[in-house]
Amino acid sequence: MSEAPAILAENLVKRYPVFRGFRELVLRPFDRRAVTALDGIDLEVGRGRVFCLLGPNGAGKTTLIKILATLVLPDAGRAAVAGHDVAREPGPAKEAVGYAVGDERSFYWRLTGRQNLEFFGALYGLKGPSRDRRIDELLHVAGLEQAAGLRFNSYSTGMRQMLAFARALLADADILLVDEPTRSLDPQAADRIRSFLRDDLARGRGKTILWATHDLGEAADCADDIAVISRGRVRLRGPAAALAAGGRAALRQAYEQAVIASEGTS
Amino acid sequence: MTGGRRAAGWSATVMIAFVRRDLREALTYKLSFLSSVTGILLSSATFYFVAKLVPAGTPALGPFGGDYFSFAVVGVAFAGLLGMFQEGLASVVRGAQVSGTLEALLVTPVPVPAILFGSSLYGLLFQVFRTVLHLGVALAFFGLALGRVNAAGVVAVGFLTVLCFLSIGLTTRFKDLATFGIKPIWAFTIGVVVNVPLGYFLSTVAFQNYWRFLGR
Repeated sequence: MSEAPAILAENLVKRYPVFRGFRELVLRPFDRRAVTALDGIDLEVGRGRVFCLLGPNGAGKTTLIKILATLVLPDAGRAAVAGHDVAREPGPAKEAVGYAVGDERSFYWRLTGRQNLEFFGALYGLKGPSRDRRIDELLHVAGLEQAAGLRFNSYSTGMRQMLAFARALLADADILLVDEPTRSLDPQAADRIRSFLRDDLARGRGKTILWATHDLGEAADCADDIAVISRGRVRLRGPAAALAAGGRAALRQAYEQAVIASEGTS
Repeated sequence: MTGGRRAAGWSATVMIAFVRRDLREALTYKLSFLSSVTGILLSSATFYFVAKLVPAGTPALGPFGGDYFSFAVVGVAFAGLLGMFQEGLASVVRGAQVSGTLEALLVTPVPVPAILFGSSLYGLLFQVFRTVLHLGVALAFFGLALGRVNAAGVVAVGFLTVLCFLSIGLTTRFKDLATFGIKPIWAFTIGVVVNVPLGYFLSTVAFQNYWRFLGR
């Protein structure tokens, strides 16, 4: 029996209703205008691969990740993680993925890093000495042992991002979803995060990583596979080695051509 | 690496984690935490002295035993509790949305109802503590008279009111929760199922005399 791919998306569609004020609701009650975020995405990510999603703002990267994390339901099509349909089997799907929520507000700022992990660890079913050991291990992996007892609001942006990874790893899921993990980081901190994801988690621990980014260099350096999304569709995909064979300039050219072509077709 | 990991959900571990989280946060605001407790003592004393200004035997207080202090303290103590039940769930969802923690909670394997309940548990427990403390202080130091209280009636009405207010809270947030995949109809149905019989009870039993009086 062949093993299911880590991540599978088939003809995935998501539309968000356009926000309307009271006046609009009264005057046009049956108006159902919507913004299309995903317009038939097909994607397959093999186990143990680092898969970078590239695309301009509003391309649909975050929506795709949120669907895979079971935070948003698709309107049509199918998405599965580790063989579990995210709409029909949200429970097993949740257990199969770790979503590194990039928003630093997703932590409790007045609690320490350790207290935050203790809380989320309990929600992932960890308890007792095994939970404490797991948290110690993750704080070590994230390089936060010394800062574990400090309040989250005293952390730097890089430390907050590392704590987000530690939280996503609490359940030790095989699939990791990360959304622009190096956004707002200085070059050194960004390099450290890239190395952590690529070398420690993907190469070292065999995690599958779906990694949304705007940074072409990051994708060229870290990804096994790359897909360019624009206007809700995959416009270009392939092994990173092939797409970036001509260097970053070649990848940039291919990216821009794919995005420009999508603007012409939509 | 996964040793010790068990399915989370409605387990005591999860509920305790929610309460501990909120207690730890509350304790970081030391002065606020302290004042919320000492405020109960002060408000009881305030009502005691205000009650001295209300003449004994005021006709309007007749149905309540004629004692303004008992009337006011019981009202204030339970108003806070009912308000918490009414606002509890709604404020939990809104608070998590505003603070940005909602998504991080929803990606965990804990079911959404357990997240909602767990997140409001500390507030509910603290409000129960406040109510008990309020009544306890009034009983111990200011001679609160509870002789005319119908305990069974309080429990019955309290239970139904809690259900009703919890449903209102859930119903008001279904639009926000729907974004994350919760079927709005569930929340709405729960609201209707609870509110209709409660409305019937309140209209035909609890407030029967009041409606008759109004009808005249």
